[in-house]
Amino acid sequence: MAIKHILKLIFKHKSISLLITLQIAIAVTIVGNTSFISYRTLQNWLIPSHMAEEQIINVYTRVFDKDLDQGALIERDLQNLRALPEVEFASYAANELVLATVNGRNFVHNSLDREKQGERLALFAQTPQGVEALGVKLTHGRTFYDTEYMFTSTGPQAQRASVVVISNTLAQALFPEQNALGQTLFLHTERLPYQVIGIYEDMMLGENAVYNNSWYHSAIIPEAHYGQNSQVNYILKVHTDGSKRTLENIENLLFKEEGRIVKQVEYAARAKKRLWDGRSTFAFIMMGISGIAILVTGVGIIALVSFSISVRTKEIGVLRALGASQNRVLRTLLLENSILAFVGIAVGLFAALWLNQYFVTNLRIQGLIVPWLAAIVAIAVWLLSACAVYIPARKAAKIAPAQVTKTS
Amino acid sequence: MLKMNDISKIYRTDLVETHALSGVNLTVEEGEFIAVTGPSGSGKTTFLNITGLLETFEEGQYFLDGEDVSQLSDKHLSRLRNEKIGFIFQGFNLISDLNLYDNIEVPLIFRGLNKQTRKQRIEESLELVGLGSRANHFPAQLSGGQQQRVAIARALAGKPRFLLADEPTGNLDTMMARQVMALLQEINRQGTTLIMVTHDNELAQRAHRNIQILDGQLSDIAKSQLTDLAV
Repeated sequence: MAIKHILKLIFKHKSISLLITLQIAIAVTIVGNTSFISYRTLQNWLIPSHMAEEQIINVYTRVFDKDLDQGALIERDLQNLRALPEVEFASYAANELVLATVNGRNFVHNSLDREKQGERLALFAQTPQGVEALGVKLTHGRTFYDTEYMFTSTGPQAQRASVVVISNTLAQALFPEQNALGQTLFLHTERLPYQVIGIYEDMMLGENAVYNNSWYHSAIIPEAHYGQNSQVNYILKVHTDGSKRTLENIENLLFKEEGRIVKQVEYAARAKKRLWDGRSTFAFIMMGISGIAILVTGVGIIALVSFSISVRTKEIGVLRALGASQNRVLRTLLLENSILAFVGIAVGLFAALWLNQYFVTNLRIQGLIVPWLAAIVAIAVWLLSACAVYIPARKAAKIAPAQVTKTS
Repeated sequence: MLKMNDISKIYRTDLVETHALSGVNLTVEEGEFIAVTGPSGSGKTTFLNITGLLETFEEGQYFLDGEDVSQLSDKHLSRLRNEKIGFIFQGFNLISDLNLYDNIEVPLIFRGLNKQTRKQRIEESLELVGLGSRANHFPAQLSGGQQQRVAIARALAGKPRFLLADEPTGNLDTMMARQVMALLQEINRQGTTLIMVTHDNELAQRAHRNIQILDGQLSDIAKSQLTDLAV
């Protein structure tokens, strides 16, 4: 039969055709989005962090004794921590730990123009050894002199630093056409000026920045304030790779101090894993749903086509008698299904775009359309439908031409 | 044109063997009109299926235009059915979802004819059966007699070597049956070989040659013997 005839038959058997098309469309919608989301998640996973994930340690502690002098406590802690044999460098950190933003969102601006949106970044407010603890590799300029570090309690009298070192990508984002060294940028809600004195190789450092696709936007300032809240956090660098023992030693050391609790001591690798966990879970759930969708579609097509063939046994027998070989019957049914699949896939891809839009806007899921992935999904679903049709179609091809001489 | 030597067909189930045909010999010449009669269960349908290459057989030889068809593949048999045999069935066997034009076109597409030739043949054959103006109608819009004429048109459009008719008037009332029979006879007169299987003795009377089938065996009979046959 020619395509013309197949199309006519499809239109005659509207309900079955529609159901098959619909199933294929739904499968494409679900599987399409799953692959987009999974692919993006995988891509995120594969972004290199360019840092010693198993050597950098985040330490989270809380001071519950209101009378405790936090400044003195921090000085004592840093001294004790640095005395541990495993610890190379230790620095007090305010609100930004490695791949763990404790508080707030930070923006950096290259002008005082309030209309202009700034760049998101991870803003590390550190004490001496902070630059070393993060393992920053300077490419231009210098790091901080000891005299440039400001370490005071928060409040109106808090001293501010005047210099900053920033990552290479951030330098290019802020000053695309000039050398960033020596330029002034503005930080905090008050937009205080800082002069760029150094630029370092890109590292993935900030949780909040990563969430907003600014993987490598970060800056370090030599000012650290304490006493804003009960949190007292540290960033350390150790020379024992990923050792649990080291974490325990640090924890035990900090426990000795009265009036505070040690919330967590973890490697940056763990913080990084936590960063993607939510998205991975979503991707896995979508994969599960996809599996079900594929199963339902496959079984559905087998059932629907089987039914449609059982209704058309006589007709297929007539075609056989008129000279259709088994192969031709098989081909015709596969072609018929391919036409339905084509329509279903087209509809499904549009639905997938819509669903993707929904995910991106309402669930903050990254899953932008990947055209070549969409093409693969389309081909895969078409193959699935062809395989599903093949099972009943093979039976149909076996319908004997002698069917036609049976008197009904 | 058509020659069968000692053909046998046995249907086997776990419990019984049924000899549907045993040792059938038959020769059909170009332009003949043969009626095959026999009571129910005599093997008429099996004979029809084998002659029409709708079914295979165990023993014997069947030559169609000199070609031995006993060992051919499905693909080859399908092609022979398409090219050499025009079928006319009791139940018409038109495809109800396609209009008359498309119904006749289907086997011509299998044949691989081009669009121009197909169109010409469809129009000619519809004209021949007197339904030239109805090409866009669907089978359900026609009477039984008209549907059977469409089936005849479909069979003729392929310019087959012979027409194989299975109770062609079985589903028709007397008036229509006569018209259809007259048409078949006219087609035969113009040179197309016609093999008709029927249990209607009146129809069988019109054939050049009568063959009776009884318990799977074929024998030529005289027209005068026809009336005695049980139906």
